[in-house]
Amino acid sequence: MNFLSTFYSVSDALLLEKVLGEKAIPAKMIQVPRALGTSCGYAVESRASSSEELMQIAAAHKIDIDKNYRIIGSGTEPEFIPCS
Amino acid sequence: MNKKVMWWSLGTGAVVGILAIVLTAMGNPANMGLCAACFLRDLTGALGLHSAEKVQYLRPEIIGFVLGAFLLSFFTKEFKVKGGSSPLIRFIISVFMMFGTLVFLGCPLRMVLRLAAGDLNAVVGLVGFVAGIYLATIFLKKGFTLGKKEEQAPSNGFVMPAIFTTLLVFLVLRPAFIKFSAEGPGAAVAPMWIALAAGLIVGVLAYKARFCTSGGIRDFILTKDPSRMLAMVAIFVFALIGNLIFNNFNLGFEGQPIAHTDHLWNFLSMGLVGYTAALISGCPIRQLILAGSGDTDSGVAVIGLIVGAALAHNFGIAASPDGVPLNGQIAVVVGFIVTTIIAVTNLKKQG
Repeated sequence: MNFLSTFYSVSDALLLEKVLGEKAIPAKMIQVPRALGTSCGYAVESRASSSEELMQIAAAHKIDIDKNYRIIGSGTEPEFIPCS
Repeated sequence: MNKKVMWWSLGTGAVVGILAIVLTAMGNPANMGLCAACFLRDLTGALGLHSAEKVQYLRPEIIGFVLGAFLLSFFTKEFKVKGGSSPLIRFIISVFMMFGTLVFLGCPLRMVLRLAAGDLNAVVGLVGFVAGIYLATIFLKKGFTLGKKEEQAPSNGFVMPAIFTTLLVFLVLRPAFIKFSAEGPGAAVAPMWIALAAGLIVGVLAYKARFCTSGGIRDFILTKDPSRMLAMVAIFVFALIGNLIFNNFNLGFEGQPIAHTDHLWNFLSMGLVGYTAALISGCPIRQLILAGSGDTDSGVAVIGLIVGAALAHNFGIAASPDGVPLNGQIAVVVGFIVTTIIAVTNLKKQG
């Protein structure tokens, strides 16, 4: 996975995961990584081509994305770089 | 599964389970070493907001939950003040969440402790709790949201820690206007400083592990990730071992401490707790932890839980070992209706 999106609501995370799946873009909803917050909300990891693509898909489906991050590295401690 | 989250959950659950058994051995009520709802109810009584004389005590554990979360979040610079996501709706939902816990006679944490002591009524409650959370996930999938939390002025975040610090002062000084039970569950108390220390430890760990009884099950339903749910498993295992050591294990439905055997209302009341908790993202203990770490919406939820406790006793809603009064049954049904109206009217139109 190369991008991580965070949200204001659980329902938006669920919807983005579903919409990305329908577009054959691999996506998985996970708990918000502890490094990005203390809430018990959800984030969506995806293999989108860019942050812009994610924002366009979100806008088309009225999904409010809080932030997108590029995921650097893997394993238990990946780094999350905020997208501009 | 996220292994780091898994280990934090298991560790937190183990400590909570052990502390619950220790606190019971040192004086807390049976199968109630730790219970967010019961202890908030006692706190409500201590403030004179209800007049059930047997359940009035400023439980140090509750104060510790809030202040433990506050201290850790503050010193790790994670204390972020935010709120404004439908606070009044959260308040109402929390009132009904408390009604559910007081009809069942325990929050989800006590439900697990009751299970670990062999109380099979808690099995019925657990099934209801999971069903309630599942019901909430249906609305979450349909677009339920209470709106965005906004960043707020820092002073907002200090209100709940300040209130609970004041309650700690009251607990120590024991002014005449604070009520303390002379008998009953409110008089069954562990030594104050030990109870406070236990509460602080749980507050710190629960904050770090994002411990939430409803959240763990919701995660499993929505993401198939059991890592946070394992905290409940660890509480069960360690409390079970403790109960076997202290000879407190009594398998069955009848004669269980501070419990009733009305299966329908055990199921429905915990169903309401699961339903409400999953919609506002937090069981009673999670709301206390978040309130301590700057989430003012959870602060409002905690006030809702306190008001719910007062109303439950003033209106004859709370159950007793004799069973569930009619008002309690009506309150649970009304809780389902009101929560469903809130859920349906807060569905975001999906594109």
